[in-house]
Amino acid sequence: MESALVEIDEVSKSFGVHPALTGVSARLRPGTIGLVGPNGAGKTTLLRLLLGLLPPSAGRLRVFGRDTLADPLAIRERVGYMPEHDCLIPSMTGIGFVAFMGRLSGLPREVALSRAHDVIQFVGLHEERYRRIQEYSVGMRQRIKLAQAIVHDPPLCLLDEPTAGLDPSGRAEMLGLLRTLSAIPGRSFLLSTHLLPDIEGLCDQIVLLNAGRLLASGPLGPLLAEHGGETVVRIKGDGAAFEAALSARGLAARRRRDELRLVLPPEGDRTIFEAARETGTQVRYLDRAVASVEELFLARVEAAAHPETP
Amino acid sequence: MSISAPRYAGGTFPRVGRSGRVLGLFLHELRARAGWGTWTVVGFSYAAVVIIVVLTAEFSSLLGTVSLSTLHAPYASVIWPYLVLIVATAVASGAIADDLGNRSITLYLSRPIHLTDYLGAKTAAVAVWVALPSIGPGVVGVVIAAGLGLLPATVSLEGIGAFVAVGLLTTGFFTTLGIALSTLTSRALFAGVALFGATLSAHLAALAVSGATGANGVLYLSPITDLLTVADAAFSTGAADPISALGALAVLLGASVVLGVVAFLRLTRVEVVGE
Repeated sequence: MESALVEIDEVSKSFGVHPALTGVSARLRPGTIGLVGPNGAGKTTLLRLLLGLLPPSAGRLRVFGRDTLADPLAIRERVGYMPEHDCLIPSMTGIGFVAFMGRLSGLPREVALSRAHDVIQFVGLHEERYRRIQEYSVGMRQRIKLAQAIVHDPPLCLLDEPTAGLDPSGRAEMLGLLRTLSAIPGRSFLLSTHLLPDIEGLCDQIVLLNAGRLLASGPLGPLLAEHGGETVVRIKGDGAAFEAALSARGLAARRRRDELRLVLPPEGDRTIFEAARETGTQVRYLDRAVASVEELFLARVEAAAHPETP
Repeated sequence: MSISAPRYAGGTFPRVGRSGRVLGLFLHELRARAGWGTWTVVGFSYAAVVIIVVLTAEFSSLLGTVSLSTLHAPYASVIWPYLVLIVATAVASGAIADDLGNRSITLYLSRPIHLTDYLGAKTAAVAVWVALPSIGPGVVGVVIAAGLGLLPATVSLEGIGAFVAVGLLTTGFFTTLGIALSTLTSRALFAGVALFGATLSAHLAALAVSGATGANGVLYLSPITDLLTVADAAFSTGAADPISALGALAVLLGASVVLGVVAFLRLTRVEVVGE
């Protein structure tokens, strides 16, 4: 069995009376991991717990097999962190800032400077490396934040909303950089975002959080497959009558926007056409649903809100 | 944009230990605090104190009255402590406040350094800057006067010791006060105004209240008066100070310790507030 990169064991964290995380457990393998949830889900809190910047109120976390409370420095030596908010030193040049962060991560001065040139070239700021950060645009600031996170070549990078505030082209470029980085063997990324499409095609594992609670975690493919299995039907005609006809045949359909979704038994297609014939409706579309992360997330949120619903 | 990732040589980089990382932060902070205004005040402090020490030594030498108290002249007024206060205000006010303001403290603390490392490196860098005008000028003045043959070796050594002792006390107090105030706000300007304003106000208010009521005990509340009183004792002037030098020393040392604890506790809270 592949060793776990991150182990989260019944972790809770409260700020005063406000719970940020409640009983979260997950075991994450090396790879590219999407940490997904709406604003306020507890994603940033979880990242800061993993860095040992905050102690958990209950439970324990391990990164590289080391306890975050007992050995935070050893963890931070091997972790890069890209915060969500602006956290740069405006008076420094891009190259000076990244080299300085490399030094703080333990690189000797000459190595830090050399590495800073490498990663700044990689993120596309080579021409602007001697400009002060206060002159950088939002997109350039995001890139310099990524550069400082990878300057010391950490095996694990925690990226908090790396596409926040970027325009569509900037977002695509940032995702391209992350895709390139994640293809490097031995490098893992924990990517926190509330933009669900960001992680599709980039992450191979996922952690779904909502209101501080874990909705799902594990490899993305099996989770989506588990969520899939539904059939999408679009009709022209009396939708209510069609739904009633399906119900009479033992098929529970749920309406979503202009379509119906239902789980069909073997040879269930015939049942749909029988119901259509009976109610005089036309079946315009019939296919297996392709589950997206967004759909998975919404389904899990709904299931968590109504646990009795099958 | 480059089309390929930088060629990593993962795991083969030499790494420096914790002390090397703290040294890196210290040196960065030392450079970051250097401004032309600060250098100007530091330079003025050296010029003024060295001239005063050498001229006093010259006159005392001519009169044949050279002793340790001869070297007390720079502490005869409040000007030198206030020059040190200006430098402390310039370098300490932004030491932490700037990091809180631009939130770079999150990045510092996400690196393999402890909060105590961060605070220690910042404090040490500020202390070096404050020590430049508070210790250096007196020592340089004595060395020059001794070099010119104006001071005997014994008096020179005693004078250097006294300047270093009082200078260290001044450095410790103004550094911890500045750092503590800098942790309380994310605006360096506010910390600077508080540092200079609080010291000046305490000095003037203590003098006014003491003068009006005759209650000398209130003078302990003025750090400047405390420093001058300790300096009187260190240079054996025999002046009849209104407060005890030992008491003034205890106030300054105690305040420095309390301010250091305040700064640390405040920073431990900042991490949580940052959520």
